[in-house]
Formats: sequence, C-alpha cells, structure tokens
Amino acid sequence: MSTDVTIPSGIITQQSADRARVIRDNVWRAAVLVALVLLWALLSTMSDLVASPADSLNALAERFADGSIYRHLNATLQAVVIGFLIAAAVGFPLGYAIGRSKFLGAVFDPLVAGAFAIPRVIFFPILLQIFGVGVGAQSAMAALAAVFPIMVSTTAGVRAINPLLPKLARSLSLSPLQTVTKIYIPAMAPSLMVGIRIGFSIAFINVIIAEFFAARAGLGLLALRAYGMLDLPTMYGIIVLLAAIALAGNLVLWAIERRLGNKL
Amino acid sequence: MSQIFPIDTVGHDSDVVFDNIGMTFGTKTGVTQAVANVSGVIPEGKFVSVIGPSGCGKSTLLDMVGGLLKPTKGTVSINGETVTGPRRDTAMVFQEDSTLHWRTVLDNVAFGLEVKGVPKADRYESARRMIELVGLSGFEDHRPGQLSGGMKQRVAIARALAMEPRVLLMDEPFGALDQQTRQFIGRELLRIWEKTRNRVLFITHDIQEAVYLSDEVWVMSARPSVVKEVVTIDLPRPRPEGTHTLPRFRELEDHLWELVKVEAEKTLGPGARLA
Amino acid sequence: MVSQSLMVPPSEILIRLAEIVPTDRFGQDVARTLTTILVSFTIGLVLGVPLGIFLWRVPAAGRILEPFIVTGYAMPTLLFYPVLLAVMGLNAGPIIVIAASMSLIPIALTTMVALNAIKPILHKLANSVSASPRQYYLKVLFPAATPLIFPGVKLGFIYAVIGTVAMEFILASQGVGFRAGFYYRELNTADMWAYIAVVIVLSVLVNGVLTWLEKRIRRDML
Ligand SMILES: Nc1ncnc2c1ncn2[C@@H]1O[C@H](COP(=O)(O)OP(=O)(O)O)[C@@H](O)[C@H]1O
Ligand SMILES: [Mg+2]
Repeated sequence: MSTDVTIPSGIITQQSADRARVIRDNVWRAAVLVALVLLWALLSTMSDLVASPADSLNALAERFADGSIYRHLNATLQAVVIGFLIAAAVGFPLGYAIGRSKFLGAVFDPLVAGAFAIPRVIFFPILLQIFGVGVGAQSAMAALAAVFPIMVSTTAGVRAINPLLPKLARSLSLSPLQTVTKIYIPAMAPSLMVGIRIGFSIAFINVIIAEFFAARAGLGLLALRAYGMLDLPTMYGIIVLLAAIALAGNLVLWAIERRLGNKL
Repeated sequence: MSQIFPIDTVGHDSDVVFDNIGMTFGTKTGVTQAVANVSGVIPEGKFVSVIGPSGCGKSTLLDMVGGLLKPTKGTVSINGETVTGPRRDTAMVFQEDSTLHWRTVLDNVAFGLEVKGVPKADRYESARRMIELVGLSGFEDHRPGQLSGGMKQRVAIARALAMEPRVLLMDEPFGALDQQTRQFIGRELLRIWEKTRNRVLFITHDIQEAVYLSDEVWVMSARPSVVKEVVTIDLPRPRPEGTHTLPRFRELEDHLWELVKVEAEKTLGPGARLA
Repeated sequence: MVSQSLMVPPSEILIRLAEIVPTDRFGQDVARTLTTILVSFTIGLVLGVPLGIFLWRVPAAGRILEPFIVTGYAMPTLLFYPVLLAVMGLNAGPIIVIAASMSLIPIALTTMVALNAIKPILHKLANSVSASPRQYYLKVLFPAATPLIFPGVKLGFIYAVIGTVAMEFILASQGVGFRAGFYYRELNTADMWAYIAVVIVLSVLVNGVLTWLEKRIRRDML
C-alpha cells in the first residue's frame, strides 16, 4: 500500500465530494423555500387573513418605489445596530472579566442569569420615559435585551478554554495583550460568534416588539399600521423583508465563521 | 515454536472459526481493504492475542467476531453457527471508557444482563459476584466519575463477564492505562480468566502483555492484513509475577518484536527503520 | 430628561403591591400568565425534542434546514401576532403559538447537539449487548444526553416566559405582562412598577428553580 499516493488523491476527491454535497444541499434548500412559498400561496387561497405571495411582494415593491419604507427601515436598522454595538461594547468585556475572575463569577453569575430570565421588554416604558418615543428608546431596548446573552456566552466561552492554554502563554512569557489576542480570542472565537449571533437576533426581535408598543417609525410600527388598515399585503411584505434581513445577517455571520474556521 | 499459515482451519463445533474472512470498507472516496484474508481457530479455553501495526484491521477483526461488522468476504462462526449480528454468548470490552456515567458500578455491571431481560434479583446477584471477582467490592454504589481509569476498565470487564460469555472480545482494554496499572490489571485478568476459562480474543499493541497473557499470539501484517504468523506461547500456567524474567519469555518477546517490526516499518513508509 | 412620573418611591410601590396581591384580579392574572407559560413550554418540549432527534438522525435534514431554523430564531415571529389574534381571538391562543415557537427552537437545537456529542463508544456498547431500539433510547441515549439537553430545556422555558410576558405586554386581555403595559398607558406609574416587580420576581424564581434542577441533574448524571 503506497499511502503517499492514496492520501493526496483522497483529499482531492474529498474536496470535490464536499463541493458536490454543498451544491446538493443548496438545491434542497431552494426546494424547501419553494415549498414554503407554495404553502403560503395555498393558505392565501383558503383564508382572507393571508395575502398571496405575489400581492405581498408587489406591496413591498411599491413601498420601496415610492420611498415611503426607507424612513422605517432606517429606524429599525439603526436601532438594531446601535443597540447591538452598545451591548457588545459592554457585554464582551464584562462577560470576559466574569469568566476570568472567580470572585466576579461568584458575585455576578446569579445576577446575570437572573437578568437573562427577565422579559426585558417589561422595562420598555421606563426607557420610553428616559429617551422619549424614538430610535433612542428602541436602541436602548435592543442593548438591554442583547447584553445579557452576550455576557452569558462570553463567560461560558472563557470558562471552556483548555486550562493548558494560559499555562502555555505563561511558559512562552507572552504579554497580557498577546495572551488575550493570540490565545484567548482565537480559542474563544466560536463562543464569541455565538454571542454575536444571539445578540443580533435578540436585538432585532426586541426592537420590533418595542416598535409594536410605541414608536415614531420602524418596520414593526409599519406592519402594525398596515394591519390596522387591513392592508394585509403590506404587512406580509414586511414580514418577508424582516425574514430576508434575518437571513442576510446570518449569512454574513456564517461567512465570517467559515473564514475564521479556515484560518484557525 | 511457531507455525506458518495456512493452518488447519477445521475446528470443533464449539470453536470460534474464521473462514477466509476479509473486510473492505466502501467510503465516499473509494474503498479501503482493511482485512485481506484471515483464517484461524480459537480453541475452547484458549486465550488468543492479536498484535499488529496500528490501522492494520485488528479492531475490524474483533468487531466481525462481535457481530458489529459483517465481513465482506468469508464467515466467522461460533459453535458452528455463522455470526450474523451481536450474539448473546459474546461480550466485548473496549479501549475507551464505556461505562455509563449516570449508573452506579452495580448497575453498570448489571447492564448487559438487564438488556437481556434477566430479572433484577438475579442480575444483581451475578453483578455482585463479578464486582468481587474484579476486586471492586465496596464500590457498588459509586459512580464512574468517582473511579480511576483502571477501575472503570474493571467495571467494563465485570460487565462483560457477568454476561457469562463463551467468547470474550477485548479491544486494547488496557490501552488507555498507565504502565503500572496496566501490568497490575493484566495479572488480575489472568487470575480471573484461570477461573472462567472462556475463550478470549485479546487485542493489544503491547508485546509483553500479549506474551504474558496468551496461549497463542497472532501477528497481523500491515494493511490489507493477513495473519502473518501464529506464535504459540508455551509458558507454563499459572504464570506468577516473575514470568517476565524467564529466558523463554524474552525469546518469545524478541521473536514477536522482529515480526512486528517489519510490518510497522511497512506501515510507516519507505525508509523507516526501527531499532 | 427624566420625567416626574417615572420617579415612584419604592415605599409607594410596596404599598401598591400589598394592595394588589390579595385581589382576585391579581390571582387571575398570575394564573393566566403561568398557565400560558406552562402550556407554551410543554408544546415547545413535546415538539422540540422529537424535532431534535429527527435532526440528529437525519444529518442531511439538519444541514438543509439549518438556515431556516436559524432565520426563524432571529425573526420576530411576533409579527404574526395580529393575524393570530384575528384568527384565534383575544385570548391565550395567539400568545401560546408564539411563545411555544420561541421555546421549541433552543430545545430542538440542543437536543440535536447533545445527541451528536454522545461518545460513539456508547453506540457500540449498546450494539454489542444487542440492545433493542427501545432499550437503546431509554437506557443509553436519553440518560446520556439529558445533562446536555437540560440547558436547552431551561432556555426553552425562559423563552416561554419571555414570549408570554412580551406578548401580553403588547396586547392581551389578561396576565401580569398585560397589566404592566396597561398601567403604563393609563399613566398609573405606581401600579406599573408594582407589576414590573411581579414580573421580575416571577422570572427570578423560575430561573432559580431551573438552576437548582440543572445542578441536581448534573450532579446525578455526570
Ligand atoms: N467504518 C469504517 N469505514 C471506513 N474505513 C474504516 C472503518 N473502520 C475502519 N476503517 C479502516 O480500516 C483500517 C483498519 O482499522 P482498525 O481495524 O480500526 O485498525 P486497528 O484496530 O488495527 O488499529 C483502517 O485503515 C481504518 O481507517
Ligand atoms: Mg483498534
């Protein structure tokens, strides 16, 4: 058996097999998507409460054509991005500190877990009174909602680090900064990505909930108004738009994960 | 001291008989011929070890006897019956820790019997006997998390023995243990086996261990593998502690090392030379 | 910036709480919220675990459906709330649908991950002793996976709480979440705070119980 011949050719066929599998998976995903749209179309013929896919996309396209949607899209995206950035700026360092220090862990673990379990929307009225109705309140809502999941996954990530790695860092006499950037962050990359993914999702969901409750602009508000005026195509159109945003966000995160995965 | 294949493969009905078995794995990327052709017999009451370079198909061979894998060529038979799946009269011990961490030692040892449907009182009785036999008395209510690696392997051995197998299949059961524990538990195994005298197919990469424990050592070639040579271990039993120092022991060990070395060098690739 | 009406002294909140708690309506609100949470969680569990098992047994399905599941996770499914209200009426039904769908996903995903994390040797062991499929699931798979599934179940429960209270808060006819939002709109800040306090106490209690359970399960099974 000459392994030196079989191994490289094996790797090549492995790669092309992987590529074939990716293509096959994507075909299946497209099929699932088509099936969902068909199901939706079927439901729309059965119930007056469901607008047809074509009508919904048309209504959405109209909103883009006359430009009336941009104000709302901006408000929602701004709130999500600002809220997420605040949550990340606070959540990652705090989560890291709690994970590294036994003392901080003992003090903050129960607090963070308790706060995580509270439906944070309940504080929205208070945010409204502080920031007034507007993007400020929605951003604060997103930050408040996303900060705890980010902290929890960061803390879990720090604690899951192989205990030999800090030893390795000391044996190589790395500086504290090098230890963080060369050892901790790469070792924690998967849980950091989990934090980012969950943080974004939760920020997004909470902004929409908050917009349902009180807002001057935003996709949640627009959907609720459309429903109030029985403009169902617009409402479903916005749902499609939100799903597209969620999917796009996740695709970007996947791409980043894959690049990190290849590099590490 | 050794016989060269082909050997007489016509055994008694009660023997474990390998009849020209081979195993080829089909993978997405092609085929791997793991075991080319193995014939042989494990006679009643014999302890047979298999050694060979890593990746040569030792585990594959064992899994075929255990009924976990179906040979792509030839048959394995026990008691004259072709093995088609896991049998009630075989039991396996693996290299990895296979204890169920949520069960106590007693419930772990009773697991095989429980699955067989043996009533609770009966299976606990045999489990307690086996626990005593492997030297774990007093640990019945402990959980695997509280035991050392060697103790966990003893639990696995007790679980296999409790099933009163006619054939005990052990795949590098001490491979994950340190040298001292390994020697100690090897002696224990031998002491137990002297009492039960079931047939054992024992896989190891430790030549000393193979010589110390076995009646026969089968040396497998590099993949695709055949049994290159069967070495009969003609050391008297029982084998007390000093057995390792007997000149005959050294001779057998050296002979096996020569055989294994050639195969290991083939596996490691052209130019590899082992001392 | 902070308006006067936000500042309610804690003493006043406590007094309001003491007055509110004995009332029938408070009992009804709490009962409604708790049953909604429990029903949502139960549905999430009953659907989530089999879904997780399916995704584990058929890895291709898991791979193919992953983008849909993750998108569904990240999507404000509550957008369907108005439609569900129109279909099912202003009762617990629409809330249960949304809270159950929120609770289901972490349960399904952790079930899949937990089953994937089971050591292959346990499959081999079960096979070698000829365990039946039933024995395999009940005696090996589930006990081995439970400590790993539990964090997902806990998360599912927390999501059921969050979903229920959030939906009540937006629009409902009963429930502690509804009451907090209601008093905000009525500008009755003291009562709003009282109900916020109730929600906090409820969530912290739920989390405490779940954490205690998790510790027990881990101690008994790991
Ligand atoms: N299920 C399988 N599919 C494909 N190839 C396998 C499978 N199991 C084992 N092999 C291959 O068969 C050969 C022998 O494996 P194994 O019996 O585990 O070797 P050993 O136990 O002697 O180290 C190896 O090259 C291994 O990669
Ligand atoms: Mg092996």
